[in-house]
Amino acid sequence: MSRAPAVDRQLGRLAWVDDRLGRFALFLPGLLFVVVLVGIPLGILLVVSFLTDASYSIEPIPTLANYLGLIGDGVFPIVLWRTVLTAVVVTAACLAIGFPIALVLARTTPRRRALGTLILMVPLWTNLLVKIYSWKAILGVKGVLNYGLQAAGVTSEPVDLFLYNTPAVAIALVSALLPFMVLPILTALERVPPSLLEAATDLGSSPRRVFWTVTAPLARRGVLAGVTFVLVMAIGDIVASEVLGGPSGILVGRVIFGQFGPSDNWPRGAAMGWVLIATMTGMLLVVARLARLGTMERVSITGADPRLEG
Amino acid sequence: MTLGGRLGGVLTRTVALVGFVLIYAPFVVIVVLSFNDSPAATLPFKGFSLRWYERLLGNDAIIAAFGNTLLVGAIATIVSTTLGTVIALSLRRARFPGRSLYEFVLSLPFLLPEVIVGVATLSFLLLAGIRLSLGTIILAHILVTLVVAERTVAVRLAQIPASLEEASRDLGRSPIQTFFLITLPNLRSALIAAALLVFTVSFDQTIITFLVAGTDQTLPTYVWAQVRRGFTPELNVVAAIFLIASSLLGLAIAWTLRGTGSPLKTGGGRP
Repeated sequence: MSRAPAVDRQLGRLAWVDDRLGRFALFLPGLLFVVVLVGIPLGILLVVSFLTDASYSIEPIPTLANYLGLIGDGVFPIVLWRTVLTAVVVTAACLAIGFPIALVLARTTPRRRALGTLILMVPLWTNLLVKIYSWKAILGVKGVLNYGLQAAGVTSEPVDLFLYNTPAVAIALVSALLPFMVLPILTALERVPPSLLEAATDLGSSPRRVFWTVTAPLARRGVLAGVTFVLVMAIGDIVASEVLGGPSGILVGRVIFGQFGPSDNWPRGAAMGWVLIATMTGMLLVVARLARLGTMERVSITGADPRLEG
Repeated sequence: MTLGGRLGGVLTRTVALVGFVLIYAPFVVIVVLSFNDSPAATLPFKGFSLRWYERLLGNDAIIAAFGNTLLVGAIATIVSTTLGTVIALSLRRARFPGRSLYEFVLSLPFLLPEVIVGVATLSFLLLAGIRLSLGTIILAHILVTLVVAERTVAVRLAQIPASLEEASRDLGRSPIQTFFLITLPNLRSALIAAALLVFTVSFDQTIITFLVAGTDQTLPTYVWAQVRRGFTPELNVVAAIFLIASSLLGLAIAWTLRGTGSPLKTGGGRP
């Protein structure tokens, strides 16, 4: 208090400069990391996708051929379409199975819910490749499923229909990605007060109506998060396609992966990579749009109390 | 409840049960098969045996791959958690143009399809003239896991009120003392959680590792190479051990994350 205001101001300024410097020093490693290890590599990939491939080397001649070639290619559009379709089916299946799981867990006692959440979280942290590989032991000609079908007398010979096709890829992906759908929905459902559901029931709504007008809209944000997770992971899949897909279950990720060997076409692979990113972004935009449409319809229900919004 | 409502409830529970079966089927099948006393690697179950486990211990390639996995995971965990904490601290209460872009780019390696991150990193490493080795694997794992650590720490940081640190500064502690006496103790559970998450994500990397690995192998790339070749009882054992080990890690994480909402520590004396 005894110091002159000017000195005080000066000291304050010094502290401010000091703070600024400290903050910048703190900021630098992250910035460096983002620029050098994320920005530059992605930039290189973008540039490469516009360069000319000469066998065993890349010529620095700009071209659109890598992208245009993908359209004219008879196979790539089919594979891309199959990838989109598989991702959509996997996401829809995860939602159709995952929502009931979340609903059952949300309605049970806190103890059971904690146990159920734990059971869901453990596989989430286990190795994807190994989980996918295990499906080979289930779906294969000598697999558990065939063994069971024969033991039950449904078939007399092993059936080779279950493995090396797109459905096998989809089943394994649903199994591996299901927890990613359930957990965010459960989090959203836990925030729905039971009194709200009771009120709707007391006012004469049927359970079905309560579900569609109260529970489902309130879980919207959880559904959006779950759908985003599953979609992103399904569309970039390589492992399931490689291990379980066979020739008929080839997905885009696997094709790109195959373009980056020593003698392969890197510019073409890079172009495919950017097409995949664009496709993924487009699908996420559609999902976000659908979620917004959902809000506008339901605004009268959730608008009453903003705290009820997930 | 109406008949329709009860039917709906039964249907819901049935679907939920199917879901749990779908999630756990691969676990059960592979663990059971790993103990099967049969060279066929499939059913029927011919009796309990540990012989594939014993044979595994004699497989030097797997042991080396396992050692590499632990080494890569450990270094990536230390670096990612530290760097992630630094980034979380630098972003705390910071307002600057392009902040959301910065955070978006930071999360890209985790969000983008593995193959994209893998080939982009590979192109960069080759252009920069860096030889592929365990070091490049570690670098790639840090790249993917950094945002996981940053987010985990940032969530906890946001819960620590600024007043706590301001009080420490007002009482004459330097910024560094304040960090070690106030901020860090409050981040303990978040740091443990972040480290465990980073290690698990690192443990799960197959495609990116495969792309940036020279001749070195980690357990996932070893399994990847074997899976593409075929189906052996030994592979079942590796898979079973993998599932059991990472389940234990998962349990540890779930246990730690329970504590992230713990009360704030105020530095000296009793809280």
